[in-house]
Amino acid sequence: MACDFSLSSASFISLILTLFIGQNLITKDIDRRSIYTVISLPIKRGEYIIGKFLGLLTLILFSVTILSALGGLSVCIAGVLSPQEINQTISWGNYFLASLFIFLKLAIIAAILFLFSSLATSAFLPLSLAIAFYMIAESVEEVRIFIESASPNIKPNLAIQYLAKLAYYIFPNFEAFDLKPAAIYSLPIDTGHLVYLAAYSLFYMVIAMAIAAIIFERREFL
Amino acid sequence: MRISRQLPIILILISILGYTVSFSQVDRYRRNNRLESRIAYIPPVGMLKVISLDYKGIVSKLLLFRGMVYYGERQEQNVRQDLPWMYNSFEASTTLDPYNIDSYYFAQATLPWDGMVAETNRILERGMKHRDWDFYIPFFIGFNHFHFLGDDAKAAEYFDIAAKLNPALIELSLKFHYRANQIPVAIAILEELYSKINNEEIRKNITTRIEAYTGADTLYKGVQAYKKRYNNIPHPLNQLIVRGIIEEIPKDPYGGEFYYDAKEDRIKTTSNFLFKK
Repeated sequence: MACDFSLSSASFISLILTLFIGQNLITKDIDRRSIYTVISLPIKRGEYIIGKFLGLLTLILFSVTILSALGGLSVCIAGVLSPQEINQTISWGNYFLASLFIFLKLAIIAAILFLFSSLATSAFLPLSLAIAFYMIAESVEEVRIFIESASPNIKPNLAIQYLAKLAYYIFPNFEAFDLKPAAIYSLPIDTGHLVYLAAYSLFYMVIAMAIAAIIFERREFL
Repeated sequence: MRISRQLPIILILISILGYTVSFSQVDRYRRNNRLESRIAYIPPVGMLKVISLDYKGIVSKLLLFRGMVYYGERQEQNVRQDLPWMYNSFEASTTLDPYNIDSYYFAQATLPWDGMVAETNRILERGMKHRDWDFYIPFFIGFNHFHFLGDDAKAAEYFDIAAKLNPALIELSLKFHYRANQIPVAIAILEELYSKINNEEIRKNITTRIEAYTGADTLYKGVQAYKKRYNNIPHPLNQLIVRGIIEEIPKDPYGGEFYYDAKEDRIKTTSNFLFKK
């Protein structure tokens, strides 16, 4: 219970941080026209955007680390203050992995935020698109399962079925990144799967950032 | 000039007074008309799964807490709970986080005692599938089968599963197989146990128990045969020898006497399978 709470709040607070800080990083530069001084410097625009992205990643990393470490501490204190009879073992290795994958998930969101920022003119658009992206990514698997297992009389029409399938392949499956149960109930974790999952998130990030860089390179500032 | 300078201070003082009065009114109203935790609408489980995003665990625990607070309040006021609502709440809670032992625990502590046995078992079955290391859940299901449904055979089946996870429960599973007249199953469990254990003392105990169960099994089969043939109960058990169904009444190695309890259709012994102290 305490463990679930601490991991969930670490994830939630870091998500808010990512969204609200990330939305400003590029759009503010454009808005205040400080971008002119930056693009006149002898660095590539791609470097600029990737540098900003890495900065945001550092921030997220710190946020998740500090929050989950403090959360872990409070779990320990709660465990001492009110010991439980059942379900008292928390696997700290899994706890660490769970926070690592929270970080990777937020990193994907940050990359998407940058992708939208690279073509948006206001700060509001990338923010709302990124929130929508997050919600879709969290539920694609659930929707796919629903469509595949729905009985024929409540099955949605073919177009929606294909749309859901398409969404499942385009959006990352954030549910796979949720290792909280593994930490709370010390479930066994398939390490090979985690390696693929981490690679999956890295590739997704690289693709999003590469597209963002390309768009940003070609963009004209008036 | 002087008035306008003091005006804000006067305004603040008047407002503080007014605030205090109105706050006390609001506070009194809220205290007197406090809404007890009402049963709120629980969205369909499929929808809940989608809208709770990354926070399924927290939502699951929230549903459990709401159920607990609701139950406790009603209990204090001696008002009957809305059980179907509570069932829905636990159902949703355990679907969102199928590992959430607290939800299973609380569901077991409340629902079956008010008649929702089959529903509780359905929830618990889900827990058994996910928490496959946890002996509590099969133990609960077994208990429900025994206590509420009176089905000893089913109870023994679940106690078996629980005993595999927690060897301390083997005695329980044996008893229930015995109660359900599945004595050969109980003997098989004992034999398996015998082959796994090296301690001579325990092995001796197991052998004694196997001997006693084998005797009871012979008698039970004899009684069934007698019933089939004569449509009557052999009373006393010596009748079985007289009619040539068995050759002798097996001895109870615990020092008791076997007898047949017709009401429960079971062979019992005066020693109750325990050595006299």
